[in-house]
Amino acid sequence: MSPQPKAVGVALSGAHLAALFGDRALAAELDASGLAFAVAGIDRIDGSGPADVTVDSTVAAAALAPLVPRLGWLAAAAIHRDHPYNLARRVASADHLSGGRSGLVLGLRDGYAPAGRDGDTAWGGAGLTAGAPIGIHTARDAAAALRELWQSWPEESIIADRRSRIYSRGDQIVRIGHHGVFDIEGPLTVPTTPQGSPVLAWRVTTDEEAAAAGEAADLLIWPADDQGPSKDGGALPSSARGTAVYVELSVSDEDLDPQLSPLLGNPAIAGVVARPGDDAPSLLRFLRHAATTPAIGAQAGGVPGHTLRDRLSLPHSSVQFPDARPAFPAPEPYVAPGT
Amino acid sequence: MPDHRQGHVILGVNVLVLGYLPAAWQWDPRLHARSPLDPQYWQQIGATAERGTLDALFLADGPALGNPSYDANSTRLEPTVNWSHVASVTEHIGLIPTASTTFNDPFELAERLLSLDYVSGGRAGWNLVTTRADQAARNFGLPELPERDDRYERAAEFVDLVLALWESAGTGRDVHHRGRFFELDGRLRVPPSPQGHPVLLQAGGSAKGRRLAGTRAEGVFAAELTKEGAIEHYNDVKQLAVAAGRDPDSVKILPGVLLSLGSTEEEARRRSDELHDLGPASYSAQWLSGHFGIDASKLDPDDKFPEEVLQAALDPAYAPGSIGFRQSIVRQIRATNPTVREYLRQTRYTGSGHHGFAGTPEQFADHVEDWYRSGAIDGFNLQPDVLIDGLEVIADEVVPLLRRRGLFRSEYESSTLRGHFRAASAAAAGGRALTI
Repeated sequence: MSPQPKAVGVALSGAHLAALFGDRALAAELDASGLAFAVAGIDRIDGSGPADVTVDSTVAAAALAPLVPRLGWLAAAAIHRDHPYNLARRVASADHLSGGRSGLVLGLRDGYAPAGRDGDTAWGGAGLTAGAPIGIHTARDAAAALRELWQSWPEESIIADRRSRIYSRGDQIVRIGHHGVFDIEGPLTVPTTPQGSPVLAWRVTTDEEAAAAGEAADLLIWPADDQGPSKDGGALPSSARGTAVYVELSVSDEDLDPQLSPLLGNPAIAGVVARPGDDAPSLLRFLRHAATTPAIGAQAGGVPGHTLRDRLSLPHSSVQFPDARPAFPAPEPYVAPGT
Repeated sequence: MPDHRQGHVILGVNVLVLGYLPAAWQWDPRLHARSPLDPQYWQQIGATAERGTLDALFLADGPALGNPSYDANSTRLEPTVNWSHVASVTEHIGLIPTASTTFNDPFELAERLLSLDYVSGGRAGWNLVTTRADQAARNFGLPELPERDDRYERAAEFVDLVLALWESAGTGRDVHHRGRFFELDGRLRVPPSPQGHPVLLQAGGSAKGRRLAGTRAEGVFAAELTKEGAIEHYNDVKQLAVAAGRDPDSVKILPGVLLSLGSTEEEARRRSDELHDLGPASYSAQWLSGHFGIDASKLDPDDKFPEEVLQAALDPAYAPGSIGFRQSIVRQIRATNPTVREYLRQTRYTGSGHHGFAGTPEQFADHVEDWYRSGAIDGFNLQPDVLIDGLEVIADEVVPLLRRRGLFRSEYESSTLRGHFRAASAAAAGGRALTI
């Protein structure tokens, strides 16, 4: 029996993002590549130092989504100089504007964030509240807050009924009352998206992180190396069991098929995130190889109208709100004076 | 008065999602339940604005949800992301997101705004606000907003740091900042855009806000109710700019104007009435309460405004609400001394906080010409009651009238937002006598 087709995505560096805006032809090659999704700004969260050039991941993903309409877009970001409420809004906004093709890859720290007082804490650099220690615990709490915020305003509450003049049933919107590393009352200013919630991925590098991410995220992205999954398609670390795992694989300029086959043939993994060399010419060569690689062309990428969750076979996100309160009173139908 | 002004006006649009009136979602059959979230809607707004060769689209914002039970405009996509999307489906229009100096980290926001500027080819601005809703504070782990003075002091340091970081992207040299609120050592690595960095705009009319505008901002979204008040504030900010060693033309004054247009004045007023009647009357009272620091529903609608209420509204120590709006409202009430009911009704056409206009495209072109030639404005930030059709009337009827009068360009002459601002005064070089 042939294995199930697996999704293949590409991890884009800051230099790739910068190049894509200057070169519409490169964006067109990306769109025609057959890849299922792109990660915008992987170098921001991979533990490396800052490269010479980058573009904010959420801005880049939102701006590239209409230029590269056949791929899903995951913005790489960390709760470092960002706050979960702000990040949740941006990613949910991008998800609406891309028709449900967006999401987030969380990392622990932002490689471009500068040092300075409280600069090495989560949200401490904003000078508003004490920063939280950067690490798995903080990232897991942020992931939980993101999922709650993304579900805090159910789209079904929007009835836009011209007769009663009620736009949205405010009593179906919830104040999430999130209390953890972050205290966030909610709700979000953005309703649930065409795919329910944006896809939440977490790039992990250790067993401990994988275990935390497995509870909090829709999928894991794990680089193939000595500590993580083997690029030859061996068994996954036990910490990753029960979660969709995408293996991040640095690919050379050569033919892709032999590089990807061992992973794509491994039933334990959900897909591959291919990482070409960081410069624009390497990306172009990779895209040309990708376009002629049958294992990539056979993917679900490029089916218009499908959400990223559909393409990646991810279930809808469900969040329970045991302590949530309605955000607003139930609206009464409005009758104009004199009618 | 410089009645021989020879440049042209700047026309921005404050989109307010579907339009400034809460019932906008009920108005046009092209609007549907998901319009505020629909990429097609935003693409259409961008296309119509570019058809009218308008200068910029502006999006207000605050990081908290207002009650959307009757008001679709409570839906707030995050502006930098919203405009990133629109940047890719437009070519010329300037894109100005609002972002808070209270609820952002200056490095992250500087990087994000410069990124928007880069991906839009130099069309980004930044409307900086300090945010005045307590509800926002509770989304960021604070029980209430920081004090107003603190927010403004923080805003001033925040802006200086953002400007320094934007510069660092061009020079490649680290910023070493040690301030009361922030400390950091580092630089941005976002490629500079064709306009270098985003255009800085400031909204609000407090003394501190005006000082910030005079020293730093390249544009002001002012709140004006009368031409006389607008001239006074115009000269104020231009003088502050001169005192700061700047060219007075380097800061553009763009008051908001609430706009209902019709083919006759009566039709415009009827449109405005119908739109007001489609939304609960409590919205006007709520609006007044929100900006005034009183519970307007407790005032007797058939009584005049009590003097102590007007006095209290002018107290700068009162935390919520904008002092600029409050001053402008009190001035308006004192001018005619209306009852509460009369005031709420008259402000349908004349505006409140911002001035309003209900009339024909010709009348509005007269209005623009009058304010512009009187030295009250460099342009307007237009706030149509319902955007989807209001913007069409602006692009297809108002703009051609202004072009015929030599008050607006026929084609884009520049490709960046700063270029659009400069082009507006370039034609006046040498011929313009600015009375300050």
